[in-house]
Amino acid sequence: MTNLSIEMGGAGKATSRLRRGRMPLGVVLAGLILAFMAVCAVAPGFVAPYDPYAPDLLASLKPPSTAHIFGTDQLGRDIFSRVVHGASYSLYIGLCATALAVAAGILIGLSAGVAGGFIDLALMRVIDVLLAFPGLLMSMAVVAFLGTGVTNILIAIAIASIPGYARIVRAQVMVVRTSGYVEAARVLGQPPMRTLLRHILPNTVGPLIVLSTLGIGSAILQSAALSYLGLGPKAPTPEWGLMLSEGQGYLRRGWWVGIFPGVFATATIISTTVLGRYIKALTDGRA
Amino acid sequence: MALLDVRDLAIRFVGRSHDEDVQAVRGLSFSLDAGECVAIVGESGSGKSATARALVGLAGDNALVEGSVSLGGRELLKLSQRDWLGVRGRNIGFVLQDALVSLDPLRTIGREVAETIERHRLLPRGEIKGRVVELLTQVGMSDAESRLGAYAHQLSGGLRQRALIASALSGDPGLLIADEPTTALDVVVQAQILKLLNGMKQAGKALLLISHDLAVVAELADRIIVMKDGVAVESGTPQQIFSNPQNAYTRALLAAIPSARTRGLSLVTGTGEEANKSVSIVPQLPVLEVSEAVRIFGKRAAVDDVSLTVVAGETLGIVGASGSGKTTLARLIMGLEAPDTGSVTLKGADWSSLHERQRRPLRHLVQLVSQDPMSAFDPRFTVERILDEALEARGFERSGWPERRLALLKSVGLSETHLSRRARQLSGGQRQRVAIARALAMEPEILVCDEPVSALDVSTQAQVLDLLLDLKRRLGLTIVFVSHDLGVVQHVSDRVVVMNEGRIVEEGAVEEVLASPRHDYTRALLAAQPRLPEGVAG
Repeated sequence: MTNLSIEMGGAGKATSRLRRGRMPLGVVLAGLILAFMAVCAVAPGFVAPYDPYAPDLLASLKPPSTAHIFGTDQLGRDIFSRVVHGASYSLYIGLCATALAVAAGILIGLSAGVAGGFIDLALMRVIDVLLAFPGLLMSMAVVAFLGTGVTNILIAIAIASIPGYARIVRAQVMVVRTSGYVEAARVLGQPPMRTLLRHILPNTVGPLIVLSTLGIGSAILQSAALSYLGLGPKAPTPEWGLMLSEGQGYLRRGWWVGIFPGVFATATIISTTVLGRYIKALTDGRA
Repeated sequence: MALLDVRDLAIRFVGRSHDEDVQAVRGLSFSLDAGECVAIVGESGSGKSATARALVGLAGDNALVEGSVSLGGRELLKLSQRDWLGVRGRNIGFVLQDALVSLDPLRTIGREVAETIERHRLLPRGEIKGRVVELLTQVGMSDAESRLGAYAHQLSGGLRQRALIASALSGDPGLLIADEPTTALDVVVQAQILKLLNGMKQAGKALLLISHDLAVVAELADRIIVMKDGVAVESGTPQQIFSNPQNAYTRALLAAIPSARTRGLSLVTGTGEEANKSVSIVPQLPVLEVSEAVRIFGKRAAVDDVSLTVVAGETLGIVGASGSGKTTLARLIMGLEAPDTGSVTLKGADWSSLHERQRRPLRHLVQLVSQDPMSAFDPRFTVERILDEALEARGFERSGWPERRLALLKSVGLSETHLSRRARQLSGGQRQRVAIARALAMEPEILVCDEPVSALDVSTQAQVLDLLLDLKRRLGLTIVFVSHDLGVVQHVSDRVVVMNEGRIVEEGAVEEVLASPRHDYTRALLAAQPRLPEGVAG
């Protein structure tokens, strides 16, 4: 809360304190972190000083130093290089799983919301059943069915996050459907299909896209969790969750092996969430 | 020494840069004593609400408030946020415009009213309930004890407003600030609330009333301050203001109030041709007929056995309080609802019984202007797209659209520069003009206006009403005009039907019905109408 500063001598000073519109520091920081991660994902060779797969048994489990800023793992591989290469897996899974889930969620939510009646009832009961399982459990079940690997955990994570999006889309469709402008389109004699594509769909999807930026973080978290449990890519892939679980065994002798992949994962997740919230707050304020 | 003393109040809203700063109020001074009522009147953006909010320390985080506000000798503008908490509710009660938004939907009325008492520890716990019941009874809520457990959405607009006033009174403040306390209410309830506020004044409260409508404050205020663009342009007793307004803006505000007196005259300029006073409808050609229509929602008949005929070229006013069924009737006429029994015919042919697919090609004949144009526009759409959607629906050649768009905008008093704006970038009056332009794009024969001006302040309302009447004359439109405001209906209508509880209780030429009402309900409506004192210099 800003104190109304009347007794302050300089009105100009008071004015500048009230000025708005500066981006919060946290958001700037989150943006920088994500930009860095994006560079890591797109051009890891550009950032990483070593080959992430090349073992150097003479240099195994070396603590952070100028040569290896994050130290080396049990096989003497440079952890910083491995973490940098790992960004592509996490971002790939996070983005694709969210995109897939949003697309499916729109399809299901829109069908349910527009059709109503029996179709709505049937779709929503299925969604309810899916919602009844915790997301991670759901993903694990899907991986158990599809098998392990990057593509499969991507699909698993997407399936587990569909219900949330479908619910939001349906709720939004319900609101938009009864809105004044949809009624106005009807008064103009616009056919229902055109109204659906022109008014209902865009006004439903807009808020969802914003919301989905928040979902990217949790998708990354889930992918790390699944990999940690051994359901993702296999060693020696430099995936953060997998590296975290490998590093667990060396916590006493080399804390750096597990800590740095964890720090990267955490930083990415928090950054997407911070940025997502900021975008959401911006668009909410405007609506 | 007055209870409230405001000296040189200035409020500036600080934007991102110096250019975006807004000086909302400048050099405002007035004082207010116990048992007295001062009214601040002005249009939207005049700074009246900013003033009210600044007096309770809620002008906003980006507001710079300067000057002096002293309440009982205590300087309020120097208070810290913490000190404000002790003042709000306890020394100053604040009544907001829209009780549905202002009351917490998850809390019962009883808890809402008790909050201030609990917050300031004014009574021992055991006595609070009794006090709340007493307060609710005091504001005229019958059977208050049983309503303690009710939530805001379960109460009517009038009862909600009463609950809000009760909660403002609960800390027994010496000063009550009411910001547009009756704007969301229909005339009958408005009259009750004004009476209640008058009772508070009699009981020794100081009352600061904020309104856009001079007629509303006429009976209550001891002094009136007229604000425009953040400055008090005139102040004085109602007697002075109404009989001898000094400022041109005050005179314009007075002239803008629609009533029987203003029929056929422009509300903005105060001029008009005598010939327009009553439109002579030579061929009595019915374009729309509603016969024995019934529409039931749940167990209640919203429209109950209603029959009426709309003649080509006339303006039919439909008047009634909230819940009288007038909006449902308008929706039946629009073909947005189907009657359960009875029928609506358009130009002698079936209308209400048509399948939507058959009705669609005919929809252009009947167009709608609704109360809230903001929600009637897709928020993503620019004015250009809004108009294009109508032009497309009407089947005009795409090549002719730009020309038509401009003609439409011109006919409603807007210009090309508005094409790229979105609804939220327009003022309330401009939005309503765009809504009218969209309706006109369809080349309708009948324009159904459902409370088209009730969300607008008096000056904007005057412009929109002038526009509607002008368009009617020029285009020969038939207008069905739904409103709760008798003054507005008197101003625009040729004939009027009065609705109460879903039925038409009275019908006839507007002069006859409103000059010598036969039905009790019509008389009650007329009596509730706020009116200017006699002898107003128009």
